[in-house]
Amino acid sequence: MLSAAFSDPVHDSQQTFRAMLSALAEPMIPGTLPRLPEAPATLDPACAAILLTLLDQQVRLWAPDLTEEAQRWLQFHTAYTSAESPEQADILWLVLGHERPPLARLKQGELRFPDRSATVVWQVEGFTELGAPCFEGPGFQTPRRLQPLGADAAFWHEWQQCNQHYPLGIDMFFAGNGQLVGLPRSSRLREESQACM
Amino acid sequence: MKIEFNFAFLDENTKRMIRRGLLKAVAIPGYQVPFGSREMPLPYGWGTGGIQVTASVIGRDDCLKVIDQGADDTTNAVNIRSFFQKVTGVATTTSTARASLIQTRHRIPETPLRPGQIMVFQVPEPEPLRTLEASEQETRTLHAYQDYGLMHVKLYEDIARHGHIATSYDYPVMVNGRYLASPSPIPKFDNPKLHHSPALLLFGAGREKRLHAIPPWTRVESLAFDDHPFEVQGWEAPCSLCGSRDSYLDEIVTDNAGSRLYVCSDTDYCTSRREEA
Repeated sequence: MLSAAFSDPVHDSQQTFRAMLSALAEPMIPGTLPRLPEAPATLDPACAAILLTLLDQQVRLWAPDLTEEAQRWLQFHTAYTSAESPEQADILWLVLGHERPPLARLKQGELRFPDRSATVVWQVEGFTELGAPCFEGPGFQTPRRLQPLGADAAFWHEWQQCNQHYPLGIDMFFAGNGQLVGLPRSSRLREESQACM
Repeated sequence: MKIEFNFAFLDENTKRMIRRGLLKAVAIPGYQVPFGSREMPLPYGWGTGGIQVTASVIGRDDCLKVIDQGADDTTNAVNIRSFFQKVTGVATTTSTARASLIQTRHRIPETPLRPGQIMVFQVPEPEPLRTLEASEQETRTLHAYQDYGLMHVKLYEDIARHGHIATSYDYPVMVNGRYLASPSPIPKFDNPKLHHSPALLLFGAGREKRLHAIPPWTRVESLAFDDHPFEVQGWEAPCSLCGSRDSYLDEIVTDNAGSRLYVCSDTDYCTSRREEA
């Protein structure tokens, strides 16, 4: 039997959206998702909340890690369209550390329409400042250090590469255990020689 | 018969579409995201873009303030506020400090905004280059290549003709050093408040079907020349009601002899100053 999703879809998705908006407006600050839905076992409720808020029949999702059960659940609650390849996806749900397409393959928009680009929702275990790179840009009052558990230097190099032709690029959310962090394409890695925080 | 609305009037599909647009707008500060603007129960030009943004953002625990030219008690502000009272039942206020969400037509409040607040601007024409270039195809290309020479020529012509930059409202800004954007028809007096604003600024244009955004703590520069730096308006007299010398003043003609009075355009700011005194 399919499990329920948000207990109050209108208000729960509004609350989730506001958390996402804040997360993207002030990147790399861990925020709390105030409403977590019931979700299939393999899909973290934090990611499920974000997907329920973003998806409908107008967007194409690429989510190689979705189990058949989770796929049916998400399909029932959002009526999303599956992307045929990662290149076509508007939204991706990826588990950090699992096998995934290279970020360079994702939609980065066009110069006239940079908004026609992918948004990646990463499922993560948590966040740490330890060994994290330092970010700056719009939304940073001061530079900040943070990264999701499981991200390494190679990951940040790949991220930097795919956002180097700003305003083209991809936007990301990291979510798990009731928390979320946003990282828009406008954020920049700060040179390590400069002080952080 | 009691008419039931979905919370905040818009259907959930429309809200989702606008929300996805707003997220892209925040991710690309100053870039105009196209969106499927809906027909609203008031005509274009009355703030339909701002209303759709507010409707997509607002939640039950928000406290909404609506201003029109700084005033909480003008037709547009009163109507939009009562519209949201009716379709959401949220708390409303006239106090800038108490509001979590502020929809505005053509002003930024004098009371400094705080982190966590969201300002929603009603935008008649989101394209700063539109009066200089009528074609959307063309302006989109100019933005793509960051080709903003036209706007500098326009400001230069102002100087050649008037001796100074005569643009006094809707004064063009560069957002995050990349996109030329319209701050909506706020007086240029308010432009400095856009720079490193602690609050998130969202812009909605209903007729033109565009959204754009300025995230908090974002670099926003008003265009200028080295020998003609950007300057804001100033007044010789203080506000006749509260005595403020720092606020944006409206000129009111008081009789047939042409007597004039200058008063704060921000009614909440002016009232609270008089109450404190």
